[in-house]
Amino acid sequence: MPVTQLSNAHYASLLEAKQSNLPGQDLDWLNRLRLQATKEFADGGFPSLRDEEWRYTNISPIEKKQFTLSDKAGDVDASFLKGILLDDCHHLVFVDGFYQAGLSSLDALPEGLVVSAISTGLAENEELIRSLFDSVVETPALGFINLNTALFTDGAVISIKEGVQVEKPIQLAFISSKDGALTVSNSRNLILAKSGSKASVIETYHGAEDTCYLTNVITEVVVEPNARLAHSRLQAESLQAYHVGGVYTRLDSNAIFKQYNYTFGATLSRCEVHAELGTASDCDLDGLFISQDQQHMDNHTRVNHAQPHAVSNEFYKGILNDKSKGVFQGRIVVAEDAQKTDAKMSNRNLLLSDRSEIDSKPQLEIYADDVKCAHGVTVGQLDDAAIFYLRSRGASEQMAKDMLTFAFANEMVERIKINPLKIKVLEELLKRLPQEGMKVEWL
Amino acid sequence: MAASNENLKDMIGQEYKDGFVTDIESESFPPGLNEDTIRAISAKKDEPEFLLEWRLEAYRHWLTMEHPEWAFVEFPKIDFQEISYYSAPKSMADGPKSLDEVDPELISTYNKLGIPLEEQMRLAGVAVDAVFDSVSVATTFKDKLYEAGVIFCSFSEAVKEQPELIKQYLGTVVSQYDNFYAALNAAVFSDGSFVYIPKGVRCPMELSTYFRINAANTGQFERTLIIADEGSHVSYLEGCTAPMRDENQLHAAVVELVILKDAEIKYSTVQNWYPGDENGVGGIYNFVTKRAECREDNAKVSWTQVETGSAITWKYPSVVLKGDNSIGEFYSVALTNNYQQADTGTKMIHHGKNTSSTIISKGISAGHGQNTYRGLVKIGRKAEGARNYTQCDSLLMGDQCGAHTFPYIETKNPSATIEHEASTSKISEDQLFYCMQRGISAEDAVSMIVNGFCKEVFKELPMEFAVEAQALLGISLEGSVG
Repeated sequence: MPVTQLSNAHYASLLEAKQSNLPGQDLDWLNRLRLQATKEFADGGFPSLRDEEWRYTNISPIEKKQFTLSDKAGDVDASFLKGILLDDCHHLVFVDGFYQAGLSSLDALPEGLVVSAISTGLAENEELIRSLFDSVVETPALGFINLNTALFTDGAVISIKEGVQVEKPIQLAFISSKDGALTVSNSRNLILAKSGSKASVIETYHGAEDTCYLTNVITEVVVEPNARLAHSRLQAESLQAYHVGGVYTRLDSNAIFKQYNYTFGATLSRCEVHAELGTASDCDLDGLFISQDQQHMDNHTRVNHAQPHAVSNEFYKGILNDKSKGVFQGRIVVAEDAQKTDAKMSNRNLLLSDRSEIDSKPQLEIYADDVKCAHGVTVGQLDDAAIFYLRSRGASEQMAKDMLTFAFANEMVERIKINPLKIKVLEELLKRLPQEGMKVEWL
Repeated sequence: MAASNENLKDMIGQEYKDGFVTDIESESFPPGLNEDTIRAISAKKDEPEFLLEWRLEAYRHWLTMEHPEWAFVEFPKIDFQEISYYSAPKSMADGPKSLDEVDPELISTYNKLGIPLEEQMRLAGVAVDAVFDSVSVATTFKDKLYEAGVIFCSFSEAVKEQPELIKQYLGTVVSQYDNFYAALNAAVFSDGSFVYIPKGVRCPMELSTYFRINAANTGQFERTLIIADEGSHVSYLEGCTAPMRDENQLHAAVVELVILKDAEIKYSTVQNWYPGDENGVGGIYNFVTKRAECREDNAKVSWTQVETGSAITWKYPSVVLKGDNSIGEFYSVALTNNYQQADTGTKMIHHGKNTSSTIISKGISAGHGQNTYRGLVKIGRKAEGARNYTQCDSLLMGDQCGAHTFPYIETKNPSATIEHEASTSKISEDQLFYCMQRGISAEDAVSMIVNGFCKEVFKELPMEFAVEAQALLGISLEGSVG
C-alpha cells in the first residue's frame, strides 16, 4: 500500500481508538463534526506537492512518521517552564495538547473576560464554543484542518465582553514534553473580541530539545465591530519537531487586528494566517522567520477584502542560513464590492548561505476597480557599502555582517508592543544571530 | 462623467475591423486526429523519416497527457477530434515561384489588412514570410537575405533544404514532450517560419511574418525556429489578424529561439486576433509555447508583446539563461475587454553567472475582462550574481473586470538580487482632472494616460509596430474612464 494510504488510514483510525479521551464526547454537534472531518480526512488525506498551495512544502515525513495521540500530559521541568512563561500576563499552559491547570495562572481575571480551556470550560461555555467552532476556518478543509477538527484534545476559549479593555496580555503556552515524543497534539483556540473591546493574545510554542513530535494547531478569531485585537505568535519548537498552524480571522466593520508572527523552530513548519476583512476594518500582518541547518519554513497568508474601505498591510521578512529553505506566499483577494480597498504586501528575504533557498509567491487577485493594491518582493544579500562602512569603523567583516543581519531582523522585533514578549523574541534572535559582546538587556 | 461613459461604450462596442473571410478553395483534411492524420500531414509535406518519427513520438506522448487546468481561464472542453489538422490554399499545390504566381485573392486579402506584399518589398525594407492558413504562400527578399547569408524561409522549405539544421535544433528548446499543447503542436504542426543567422551577421532588415487564420474549423499549429549563431543579431516581428468567426478556433503555436555566444534576438509580437463579440461568443484561443535559450555566454534575447486580441490568451514567453552574462527581457502589454481572458507572463530561468533579466508587464482590464500576470523567476544554485527586476502593473477600467498577479520567485543562490514590484490601480480622477483643466478632452486624456501607462513597453517595439500597437489600444480604450 502506498505511504499516503497507510497514513490516511492510520490518522483516521485515531478517532475511534482515542475518542473516549477527547473532550465533548457527549455533545452531538461536536461528534458530528468530528466524524465528518474524519471521513473527509480518510478520503482526502494530507495535501501533496501537487496542490498548488503546497507545491514548495513536502509533508511526506509527517505521513511516514505516523504520529499517535498521547493520552495524558507529560512532565515539564519547572525551570524550562519558567523560561517560557512571560511576565505580567495571564497564562494558560497546555502540555502535549492537554490543559494544565496547575501550571496556569488564571486568577485575577478582570471583569468581562472569559478565559478557559475547552476541556474544562465546555459545559459552562458550550454556546460560545459552538458559535465559534468551525465558523471562521475556510472550507474546503485541508487535511490538517480535518485532522485537527477530528482529534483536537484541548485549546483555549477566550471571550472579551463589549467595551472591555483587557490590560494584561493573555499567553497561551503550548509545550511538548519529552514524553510527548512521536505524538501529535491537536489544539483548537477560539477567540471572540466583542464590540468595542480591546485585548492582546500571545501564543507560544515550545518543545523539549531533540524531541520529534507534531503540533497541529488552529486558532479561530472573530473581531466584532470597533474591537481591537493584537495577536502574537512565537514558534520556537524543538528543532526535530513538525509544526502546522493556522490563524483564521474574521473582522467585522471598523475592527482592528494586528498579527505578529515569529517563526524560529521546528524542522518543518507551516503557518497559515488568513483574514477576512469587513467594512473599513484594518489588518496588519507582520512576520519574521529565521531558518538554519535543514529547517524548512513555510508562511502562507491570505487577506480577503470582502467589503469596501478596508486597509491591510502585510510585511514579512526572512533570513535563511545553511541548507534551510523558506517559503512565502501572500495572497490578497479583493472582491467585486470591496471598493476603496487599500492593500499592501511586502516580503524581503536575506540569503546567507550558498545552500539556502527561498520561494516567494506574492499574489494579487482583484475584482474591483477603485482600489490601491501593491506588493513587493526582494531577495538579496547584505549591502556591500554598509559592510564597508562598518569595517572602516573598525568592525571585523564577520561582526559587520552580524550587525547588519541582526538589524534586518530587529526591524520586525521593534514592532512588538509587549515588552516581555519583545525580550523573549530578542533572546531567540540572539541565539540564532549571535552578536559579539551584546546582551539582551542592552537592547 | 456620463458623456465619457457613453464614449467608452461606443469605443468598446466597435466592430472588429479586420473581420472578413476570404473565399478560397481550401484543401483540408476532414476533422480528426490519429497516427494516420500525422502520417498524412508528413507525407503531404514530403518530410524526411526522422521528422515523422519525431511527430509520432510527440503524438504518443500527448495521448498520455492530461489537459492542464491550472490557468486562470475558463473555456469549454476542446474536442481535438473535431479539428481539421491540415488546410492549404489550393493553388498552393503547384507552388508559386514568385509573387506573380500567388493567387490574386490572397494578395487582395493582404491588401485589406494593409500589408501589400509588393509594397512592403519596396517600402518598409521588411521581408515577409506570410502564412495564409497553414502553408507559406509567399516569401520575399529571399535573395537579398541569401546575400547576407541569412536563411529565412517557411518551415517546410527548411526541412527540405536544411535538414541538418532542423535535426540539430528542432525541439531542443521546447521538446516534443514539453507540455500538452507543445506536444500536440509537435505532432501536427503544419508550417511556420525558419530563420538562421550565421556567425557574425547582423541581419540587414527586420524579418516579419503575418499570421492569418482563415479556413473555418482549422486549428493553426505553427512552428517557428530561429537560430542566432555566434555574434549575430536579428529582429523578428510577428503580427496577427483574423477574420470574424463564431466558432472558437484553437491556435497552439510553438516558437523556439536558440541564441549562441554574443548573439541577440529581438522578438516582437502584435496579436490582434478576433476576440469574440461583446457577449463573449467566438474568438480565438491562443495557447502558445514560446521559449528562448541563451545557450552560450553574452547572449541576449528580448520578447516584446502587445496582446489585444483573442478570446483567451495563454502564453508565457520564457528565457532560459544558460550562458554566463546572458540577458533576458520581457516587455508586455495585455489588454482584455468584453469577455476576453488573458493568463500571460514570462519565465526567467537563470543558470549562468551574472545573468540578468528584466520583466515589465502592463495589464489593462475593461468590460468583463480577466487579466492575469503569471511569472516565474528562478535562480539556480550556480547563477552567481544573477539579477532580476520585475514590475507588473495593472490598470482596471470598469467594475466588472479583474486583474490578478501570480508571481513565483525561487532563489537558490545568495548572491542573487531580485526585485519584484506590482501595483493595481485605476485611472485616477486627479490625473483626469489635471488633464481636463488644461483643456484636454476626457477622451484624449484617457488615451494619453493609457499610452503613458504602456510607454515603457511601446518604446521597445520597432517603429511600425509601435504605431500599430497604439492604434489597437486606441480602438478599444480611448475615451474610457474607470
